[in-house]
Amino acid sequence: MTELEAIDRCRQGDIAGLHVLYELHRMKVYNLSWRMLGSPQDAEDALQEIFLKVFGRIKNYRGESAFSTWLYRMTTNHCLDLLRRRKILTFLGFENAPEVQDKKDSEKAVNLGLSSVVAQALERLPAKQKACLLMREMEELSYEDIASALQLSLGSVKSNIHRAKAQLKEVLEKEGLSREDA
Amino acid sequence: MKRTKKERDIIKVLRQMADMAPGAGVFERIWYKIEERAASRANAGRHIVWRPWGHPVRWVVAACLCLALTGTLYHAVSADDNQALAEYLLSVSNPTAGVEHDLGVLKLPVLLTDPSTSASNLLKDADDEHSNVLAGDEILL
Repeated sequence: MTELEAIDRCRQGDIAGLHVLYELHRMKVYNLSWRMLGSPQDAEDALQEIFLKVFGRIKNYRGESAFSTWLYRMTTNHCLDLLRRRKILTFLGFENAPEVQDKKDSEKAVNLGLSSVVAQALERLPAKQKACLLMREMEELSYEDIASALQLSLGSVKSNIHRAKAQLKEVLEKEGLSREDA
Repeated sequence: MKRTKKERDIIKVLRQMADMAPGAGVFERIWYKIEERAASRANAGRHIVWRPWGHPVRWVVAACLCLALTGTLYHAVSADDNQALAEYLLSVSNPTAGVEHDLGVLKLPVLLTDPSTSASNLLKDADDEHSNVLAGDEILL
């Protein structure tokens, strides 16, 4: 079954269609959610919620953009909503604040390699910067798609990506120095 | 725009992250949950009759519209009642008001309230008393 056929079947309420879409996109959605939310458990929950949303809202997909773009847009917005909700709950005291990694942890991360340093640096980025960077570099979406997905201007998307990269570079430089020191 | 080595490294890591697989059986477990929930939703959907609004702002707008409609109806009904009451009070306080509009009936109120020109002048002449009384009777009749 092709993606288009799967979309059509999904529109008719056939869960087999959703299964095909899930098989095709689960990895990207899972990884994007993981990097956005910061933990694999949250990513698993998000993956579940997102595909249930897809099943409910597939009728709204008009085929103007690629299905993957529509899906990643939904994923990013879902993760941003979760982060916003988490921030409010933390502020009201219903949820514990996410643990800030201390210096020892970051020193440990040096030994784990570049990918874990980048992963840790990603967690410290503001939600919008993180979303823009991940959509651009992980999902390889165009600036226009990111702008429409996040309801931002094109300039704002570019500046968010630039700032995120600058911050990551800064972290890498620091880690590089500590490696040299070690 | 030329990318620095660090930037290239970051992008490479991010692209690798996109294809990192979780532990074995994770996706299968998640799919099982999705399938279960989607099926229960599909069944629940058959019993839901009406779900009109999806946002609290719309609830407020709908409540305002409802209030405005009720207010307009109430105002129209009370205006009708007031008009009916005014007409009733007018007809009770002045029952003959409508009589003069009826062309087939004698203008009795005029004769009753203003008798000076007809009957009183005729009664002055004693000689013609009988004829005057008759004339007065005729007029009054």
